[in-house]
Amino acid sequence: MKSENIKLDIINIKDERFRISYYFDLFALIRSIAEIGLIHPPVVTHRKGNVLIVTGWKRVLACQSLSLPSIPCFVFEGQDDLEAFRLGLQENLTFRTFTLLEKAEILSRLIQLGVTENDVVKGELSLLEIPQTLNHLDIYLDIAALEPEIKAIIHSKNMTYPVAQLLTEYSEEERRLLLSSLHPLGQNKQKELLQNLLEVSKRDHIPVQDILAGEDIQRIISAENLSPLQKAEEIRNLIQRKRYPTLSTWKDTFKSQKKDLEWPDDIKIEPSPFFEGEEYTVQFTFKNSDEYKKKLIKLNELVSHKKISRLLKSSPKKNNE
Amino acid sequence: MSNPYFPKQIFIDKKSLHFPLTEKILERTSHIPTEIIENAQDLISDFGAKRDPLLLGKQTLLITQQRGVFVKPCPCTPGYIGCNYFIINTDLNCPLDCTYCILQNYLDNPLITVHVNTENLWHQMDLFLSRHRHHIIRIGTGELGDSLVLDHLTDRSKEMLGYFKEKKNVLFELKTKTTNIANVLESPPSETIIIAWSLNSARIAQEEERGAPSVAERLEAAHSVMKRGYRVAFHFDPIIRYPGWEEGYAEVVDQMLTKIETQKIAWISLGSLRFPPPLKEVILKRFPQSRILYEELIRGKDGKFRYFKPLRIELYRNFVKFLGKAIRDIPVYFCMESGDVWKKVLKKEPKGKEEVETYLSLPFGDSR
Ligand code: SF4
Repeated sequence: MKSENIKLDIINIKDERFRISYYFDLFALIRSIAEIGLIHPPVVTHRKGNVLIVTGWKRVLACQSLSLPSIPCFVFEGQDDLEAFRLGLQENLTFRTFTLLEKAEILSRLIQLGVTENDVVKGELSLLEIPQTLNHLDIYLDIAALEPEIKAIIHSKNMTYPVAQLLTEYSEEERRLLLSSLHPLGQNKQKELLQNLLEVSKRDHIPVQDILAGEDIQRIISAENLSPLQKAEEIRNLIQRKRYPTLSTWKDTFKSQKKDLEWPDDIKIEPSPFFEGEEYTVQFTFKNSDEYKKKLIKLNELVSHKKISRLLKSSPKKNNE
Repeated sequence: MSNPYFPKQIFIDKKSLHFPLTEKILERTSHIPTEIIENAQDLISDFGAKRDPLLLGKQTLLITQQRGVFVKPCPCTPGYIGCNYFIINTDLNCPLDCTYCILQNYLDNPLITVHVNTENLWHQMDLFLSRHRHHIIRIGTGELGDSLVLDHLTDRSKEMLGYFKEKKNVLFELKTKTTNIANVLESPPSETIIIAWSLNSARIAQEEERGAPSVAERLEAAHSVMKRGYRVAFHFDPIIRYPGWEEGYAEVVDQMLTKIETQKIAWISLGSLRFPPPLKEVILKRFPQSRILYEELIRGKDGKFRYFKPLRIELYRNFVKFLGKAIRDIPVYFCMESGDVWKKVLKKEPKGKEEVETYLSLPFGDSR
C-alpha cells in the first residue's frame, strides 16, 4: 500500500460500507493527536472519485474535529470491497480486540459483501473468538440488526453477549417500551428482568406489551416519588414475583417470621439458596469479646424462642410441605 | 416408535469396517447411502457447526469403536443421593427427540454412534464384575441413549441378555421408551434381568417425547415382556409440571397398575425435571413451542435447574398417593434427590448410595 497525504475534506464519511465502529468516545484520541500527532495512519481507498475510509474512522473523525487540513493515509489500491474490508479487519486485529457490537457489525458486513454463512463460520468466527457454529452467527447477525438506541445501551452499559441475545428475542416495539426500565439497572439485573419477562409472557401466553401495560406496572411507571432506578427495581421485583410465585411466597414468609421473632438487624440469618438445603447461615460482626458474647446470648435467646421452628420451616401454611 | 429407526446416511470409521457388528448393520441397512471416513472426529466437528446438529445427527449413523472404557459409574449429581448404578456405554445418542433430553448438552458428538468393538466390552465387563464380585451390582445401558431403539440393527440386547443371564451378582437393566422388544421376547428371561420403561403422562409423552411410542404402547410392550417371564421396572423421569399434571400422572400410574402385576415390578424410580443450565438454550432453540422451561425452576445444590423443592415434594407425594397400596410391594426410589425429600415423601432417608442400592437389590436377594 502506498502512503499519501489526503485532504480531510475530500474523505467521504457518508459512505460507511467499511465501517464497523459506531459507539466510541473521541476525547482521549483528540487529545493524544493534538499532543503528539497521528502515529497510526488510517487506510483509505478510491471508489468512483470518492475517498472512502477502510479503517481508522475514529482517527479521521478526531482529526476532523481538530480541523486538520490533511492527514497521512495508506491507500488500498484494489477495487474489491471484500478484500478491502478484510484488510481493515486484519489491520484492526493487530492492535486491538473488537467489542460485541463491532463483532456483530463485522459479521453482518461480510454477509452483505457476499461471503457465505458457512465461510464466515469457518473463517471469521474463529478470528473473532466466537464459537464456530451457524447458531452463533445467527445471533450476532440479529444483534447487528438491532435499533441504534438499543445498540447505544448495549455499548454504554457494556452489555454481555447473553444480555444482547435476550434483547434480540423481543420485538422492536417491546424493546422500545423496555428501554427506560433497563437503562438504570446493572447487567445482572437487566438480564434477570429480560429473561423473567419473556418467560412470564410465554408461560401465560400474554404478549410482553400487555404485561407492561398492566395496571401494576403502570402504577410504578407513573409514581412521581420514585427515581428511575427505583422504578426499574420495582418493575424487576414485580416481574420476578410473577415468574416465581411460590418461591416469592416462601421468601415473604421467611421475612415475616423473622419480623415476628423480632430478629435483630445486626445478626443476619439466611436460608440456603432457594431453600434447597436444610442449612441456615447466621452472620454477625463484633468489635470485642463483650459484643461477641452479647450476640451469642441474643442468638441463644432466639433459638429457644417457641416461634423459632416456624422461622426454620418458613413454609407458607397453604403449602403442603 | 412404531416404525423402526433407519438413518438417512451411514458413516463408517475406516478402522471399524471389518467388525462382525459393522457387517451385520450394513447388511440390514443396504438401502442407505454409506461412506467410509478416515477420521470420525472431523465428521463430528463438521456436524457441530450446523444449524441444528442434533437433528441432523439423529438422521445419521456413525459406526466406530469405543476407545475409552465401556463401563462407568453413573455420574449422578453432587449434593444429592445416588443409587450406585453403573452404566455401559455401547451406543451413543438416540433417534427419538425428547425436549428435555440431557444428551443434547451432555455429548459433544451429535451422531447416533454404534461402537462395534464388542470383544473389548466383554473383556472389560469380565474384569469389572470380578472386581465387584462381593456385592450385587446394578448396571444398565440406557444412560447415553435408549437401550432398545437400535436393537433391530445391532441385536445388542440379545448379546447383553445372553451374557448377563449367567451372572449371579448382577442386576442388569435395559431401559427404553420403545416397543422394539423382539429380541427380548426371543431371549430366555432371568431373575437378574430387568426390562425398564420410561413413562410419562400421556400429554408429556405426546408433546415432549417426539418419535416415542405412546404410553399405552409402552405398557403393552411391558406387559408382553412380563408375560414372557421377565421382571420389569418403570422410570417416571422426568416428571414435569404443567396445568393438569395431577390427572395426567394419576392416569398413567393407574394404567401401569392395571396392566402390570406389582410383584413383577422390580422398582420404580421418580425424578423431576432437572437439567444443566446450557441445556436451556438448546431447548429454547430446538423446541420453541415447549412450555417445560417456564415452571418454577431454581438452581439446585449441583447448579442444575430443578423445581423449587416444595413443588418437587408436592409432585412426589402425589405419586405416592397414586401408587396407593402398591407401594408396599414395589421398591420406589428417587433419582438425584436430597435426603430430606426422601424423608418427607417416602419416610426413609438413606445414608448414601450404598443404602439405596441395597434397598433396590433386596427383593432380588430375597428371591434367590
Ligand atoms: S429416549 Fe432418552 S435418550 Fe432418547 S431422546 Fe428421549 S431422553 Fe434422550
